[in-house]
Amino acid sequence: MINSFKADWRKLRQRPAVWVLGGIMLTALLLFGYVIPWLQLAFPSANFHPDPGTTLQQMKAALYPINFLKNSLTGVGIIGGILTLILGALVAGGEFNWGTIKTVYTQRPGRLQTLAGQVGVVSVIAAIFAVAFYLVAATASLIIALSDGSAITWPAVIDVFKALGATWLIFESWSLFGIALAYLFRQSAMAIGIGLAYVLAIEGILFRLLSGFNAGWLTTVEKFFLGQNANALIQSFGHTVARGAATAPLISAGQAVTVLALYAIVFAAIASLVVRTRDVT
Amino acid sequence: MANGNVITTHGLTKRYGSSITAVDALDLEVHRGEVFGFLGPNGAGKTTTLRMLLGLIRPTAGSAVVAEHRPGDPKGLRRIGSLVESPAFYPYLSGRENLKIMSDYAGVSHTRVDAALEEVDLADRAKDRFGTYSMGMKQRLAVAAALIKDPEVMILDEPTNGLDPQGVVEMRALIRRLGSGNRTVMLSSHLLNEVQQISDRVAIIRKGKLVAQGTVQELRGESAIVVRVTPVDAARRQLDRMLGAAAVTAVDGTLRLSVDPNKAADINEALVGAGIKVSELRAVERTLEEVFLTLTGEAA
Ligand SMILES: Nc1ncnc2c1ncn2[C@@H]1O[C@H](COP(=O)(O)OP(=O)(O)OP(=O)(O)O)[C@@H](O)[C@H]1O
Ligand SMILES: [Mg+2]
Repeated sequence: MINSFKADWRKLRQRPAVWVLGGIMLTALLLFGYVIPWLQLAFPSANFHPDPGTTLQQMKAALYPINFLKNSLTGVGIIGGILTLILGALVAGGEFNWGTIKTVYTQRPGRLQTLAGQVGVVSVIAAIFAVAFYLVAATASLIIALSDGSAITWPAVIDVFKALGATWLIFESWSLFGIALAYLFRQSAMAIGIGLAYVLAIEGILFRLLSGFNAGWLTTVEKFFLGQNANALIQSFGHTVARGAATAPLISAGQAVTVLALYAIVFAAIASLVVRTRDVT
Repeated sequence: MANGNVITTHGLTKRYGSSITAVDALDLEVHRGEVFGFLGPNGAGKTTTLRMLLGLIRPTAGSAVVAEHRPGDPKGLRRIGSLVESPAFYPYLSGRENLKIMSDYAGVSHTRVDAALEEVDLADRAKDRFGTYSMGMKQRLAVAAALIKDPEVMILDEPTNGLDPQGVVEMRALIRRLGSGNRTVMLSSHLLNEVQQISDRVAIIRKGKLVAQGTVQELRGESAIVVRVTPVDAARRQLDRMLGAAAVTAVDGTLRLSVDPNKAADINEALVGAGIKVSELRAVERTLEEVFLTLTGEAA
């Protein structure tokens, strides 16, 4: 397991695709979380109106350090989820694409140990992504606050760790989804395709369409989906700008953590099952 | 290793679906320290067999023991270096980095990496990305990867695939060197002369079935001398007296003598001395190629 971890770490830290994904994530965070909102607020166009019930100043404050966790968390669910799904699919699927899986299996480690090492390294990369994510967000918020001459206050340390933990858990469950898909389909392209189709079609379009029907059973079903729980966990950190009366969340933070962890375990179990029983040709 | 076998299979069988039997009840024995040639035409089931020996695929029936362990057991794999079908490595990494990764997986130190690269003559290209390697270089890197464990057993599937004539000669020499001493090498090929030159024993399979197994000498059958002589009767009496009646058989107007071809000169002298005309005298030695073609041909 240690040997497999070492091997995968050596392999993945040098793999350009991994850091390209990380780069895309940070760029998206900077652009959509800070640069574009700041440009909108700093140079408002003639027909720009703050969101109902808020002021321009309140919206600007959303970009300041006190809000850097909440403001960047919003990007974790969708962009972070998709990118870590791709990460998992690329890492596990690459071994099939290149045929290296047979070279690795015949070296020695044992199939489950190989999988464990791989999951271990992906977990570390997910943690690196999460830390980099908040470092970039904190830096961007600090720069904006300084340029606005606003006072600098940071969120409580405990909240920083909570946000890091939540983000890592979300990344982890999505990347394990990608890994499981790659083992199932024995390639990365199919795994990414199916994964994205799931995120966009099922979690995105279908649930939005069906929510119009306001059916009780549907909300019950939704409560158990990966994306919905990731969103619930994100929402539990609150909004940067208070909007009207708070409604009771569909899924509590505690449940979301449990469900996400369960997903991670189930995906790992699926991958182990496939890894143990399949022929490798 | 009670019986001195490093690889043993019993009734090893692999079926794909209901119609394809890639390997059919194979019984193999590879002895410690030998170079074992595993021969068969395309599609005979060589690669499938080697995959089963390495635990990559599961047999449908039968069993195998390799280096005292069941196939795929990490304790056994630690002692086996292998190359199955085409070489597969990470294209974005150098040859050296690839070997370091494989050392990590094998749980051996990186110190053998450079020696292995030297051994396959790839040291000067070790810094280049695997993706940029030629077919022959990829093949040699795969052999280097099999070597980093300093394995007792090497299982090589068509190791000369894609090599130029010079590369083939070098690879053959390397395999012979690797197979000297206590190390066991099992080597598959569809090229006869290649295996014939370096193997101690060979097995021939066809359509998944073992058709022959033994030393190269055994498979070629006994060598003999064929003479065309007149008068035949007198010659026969002379030769019966000289070699024993059992060694002489009449075949299509010639006499086939089951003796060492080195005796040709003596025999010629004796016959001519007895006033017998010798119009033809030749040694017959079947090449392994002939054996192979007879055993694997459609007519067989
Ligand atoms: N995964 C698979 N699914 C179905 N059939 C297979 C599979 N792998 C191998 N076969 C079949 O099994 C038979 C033996 O194939 P194998 O690759 O073992 O032959 P080989 O002796 O290595 O041939 P070659 O000299 O061409 O490498 C072939 O008929 C092949 O089509
Ligand atoms: Mg083959």
